[in-house]
Amino acid sequence: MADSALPGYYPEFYSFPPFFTRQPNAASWSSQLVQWRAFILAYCRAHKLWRLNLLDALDSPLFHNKAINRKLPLPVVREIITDLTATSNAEWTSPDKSAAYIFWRTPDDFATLLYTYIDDTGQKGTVLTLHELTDGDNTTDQEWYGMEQAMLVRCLNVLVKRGVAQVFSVGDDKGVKVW
Amino acid sequence: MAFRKLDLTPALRPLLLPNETLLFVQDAVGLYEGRYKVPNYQNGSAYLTTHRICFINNEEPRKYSAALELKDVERFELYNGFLKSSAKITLFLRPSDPSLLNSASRSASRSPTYTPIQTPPRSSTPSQSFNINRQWICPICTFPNPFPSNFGPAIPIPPCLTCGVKPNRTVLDAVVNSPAPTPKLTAEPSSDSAQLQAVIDKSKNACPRCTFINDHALRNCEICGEVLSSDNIDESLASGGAVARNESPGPAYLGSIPLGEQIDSVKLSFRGGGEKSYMEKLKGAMVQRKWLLEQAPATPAVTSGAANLTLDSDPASIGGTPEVTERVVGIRGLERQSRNLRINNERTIAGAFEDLEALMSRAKEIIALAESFATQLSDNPSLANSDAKEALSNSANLLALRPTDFTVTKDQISSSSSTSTSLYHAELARSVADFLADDRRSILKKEGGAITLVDLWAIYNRARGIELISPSDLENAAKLFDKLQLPVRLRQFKSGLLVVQERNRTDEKIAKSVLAWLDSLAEAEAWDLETDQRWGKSILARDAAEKFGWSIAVATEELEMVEESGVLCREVGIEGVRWWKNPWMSD
Repeated sequence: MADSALPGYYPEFYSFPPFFTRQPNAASWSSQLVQWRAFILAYCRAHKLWRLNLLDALDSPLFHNKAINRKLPLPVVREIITDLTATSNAEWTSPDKSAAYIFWRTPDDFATLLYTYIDDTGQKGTVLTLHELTDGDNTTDQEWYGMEQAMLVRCLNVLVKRGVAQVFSVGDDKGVKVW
Repeated sequence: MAFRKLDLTPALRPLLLPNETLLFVQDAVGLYEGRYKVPNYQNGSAYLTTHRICFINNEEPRKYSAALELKDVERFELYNGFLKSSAKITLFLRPSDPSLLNSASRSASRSPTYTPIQTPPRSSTPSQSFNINRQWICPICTFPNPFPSNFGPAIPIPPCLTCGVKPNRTVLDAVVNSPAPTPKLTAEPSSDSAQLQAVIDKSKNACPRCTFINDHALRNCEICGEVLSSDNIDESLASGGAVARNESPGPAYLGSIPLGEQIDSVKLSFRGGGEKSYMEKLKGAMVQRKWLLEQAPATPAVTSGAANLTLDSDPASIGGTPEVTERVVGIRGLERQSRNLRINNERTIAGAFEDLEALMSRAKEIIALAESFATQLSDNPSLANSDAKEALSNSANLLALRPTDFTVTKDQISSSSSTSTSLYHAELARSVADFLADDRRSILKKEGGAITLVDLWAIYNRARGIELISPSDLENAAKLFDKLQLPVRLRQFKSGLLVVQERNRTDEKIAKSVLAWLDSLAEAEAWDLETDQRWGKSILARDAAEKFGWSIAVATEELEMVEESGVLCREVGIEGVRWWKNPWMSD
């Protein structure tokens, strides 16, 4: 059984067939939902998945346990993602709900991380391009490395709201200045 | 002696005696004793059966219920009610003098419509004991009826017990004028054997009809059921027979009705109306006097014996004039010819009834046989095919069925009462509850404790055979289970499925048993798949149905109910819904 070989972020329930059926019992469902939320976030974090295309994800190990041949149905996936958006852990990329950004940390948390990083590296007051932040050589070990730009803007907007940053366009790219 | 203890069925209906049939039910009835109301017996249902009037209190049926034997009722009359006083039926009881009671219950010959009679105790008047041994032969059906003990010119003649036709007064007069059968046999010492018989008669308890020598203690002949000579009866009465029936056999009486005392009349007060139909049915029951049938000799030999006896004493009893035995011609000859013809006819008819009675007595045997078949079947493990077994036992059960036990029909319920439909449904509910609780059928047990209303409807109607009920009547009746505090209850599942189940079967109990079963399944087998070890074993509704004897619909509903309580969780797969022990709730 491949179960033991699964990475640690796979929940114990991954091998429990009813885990892939939405429980009608409200109490059961709420526990199940909590487990699914945690699992999706942990999975995306481990795989550095920023954007979840639901149709593709359905066949990924995330929603499809091949060992027991169980699959989480699309409507249930959608329901869980919708629940994630309520806590800002996800955001639909389009109104048709076919794909979503997954924030395994909330934008608020990412914003705080970014601020600390800029502060620690003494780059306050300098203009940083977004590309620099997500794909630059200096940020490879940062959590937001590889984050989609739209998501980064979303996080930076939190800083803007806090009044410690400003986002502006630099040619094709966007720049940010934190003070 | 009037009120007796009444046994109730689990559904709080009177427990009927063998051969007893329910005739009518009326609710909102109060009980009077003499002129006074009996406390605690003021709001109940009055059941009329062929044998008894049963009163069952609405509030505390087990405590306050009583039965009145119809055979203790001398006569009855209807009071129509006036202004605030409701309509009543007054039942005048026979005096509860033990010796009189004996004669009443044994000879059971009085018609209910008699005016109360001040008969002195039977043993003191020779004419009484004389009449006891007499019979009059019905000219219509030739059934030998017991002679009315208080026969007189002013007394109306009772109808024949079998055909119900009142005989001509001359028939009874003829019996009175003819010599009594008992002395006739002993007082004709024409031969040695007769003399011998007379000697035997004196020492032993010989039957006047069939000459079988009975034991001293017997009052009816063992062979033919004929009432034995009055001398013997009186002896036995004096020597302990009367003692046994004396006064109050304590526990049989009810506390709150002063039963040791003599009650000469009892009133049923019909607060909710319905007295007219009740009266009608009561009248019918009193005329039919079904309780006599138990005491009537059942063996066919009796009829033939009686017929022979009739023929022996024929000249006296029919014509009342001594028959001349010489050969006659002319009109007399014709008369005689026609009489012979009539005698022949009587024989034929008697023979025919003999067959009928034989059939009746056989019927009981056959029913007993069928019942024993049914039990044999249910005990027999060799019948592996459960379907066949079920079919067999069903047919055996049907054969053994006594529909009168539980059938309630609309005509048993008063139509004048405004609440008649709800009373009908209440009675129906009781009868269904009795039907379900019946040990011989044990329907609920077979169905795992719950049966869908549809299945119940089918089975119940099949058991009734006739007088089928409509589904809506059954549903309405089933809705009353709770209100009537019956041992079964109606339950509606989430999907709307209605089932009838035992009252003590609660959701928790079911959840517990399902859980225990799942645990035992998980332990019972070593599963090579790791998942199965950790999560236990899953079941389908089909498995549960098999395990608990439910129908699939019931099983599905029950499992969903258990899921609702959080014990189970589901997994929807290609093969349907599988059920697992719920790990989310155990945290």
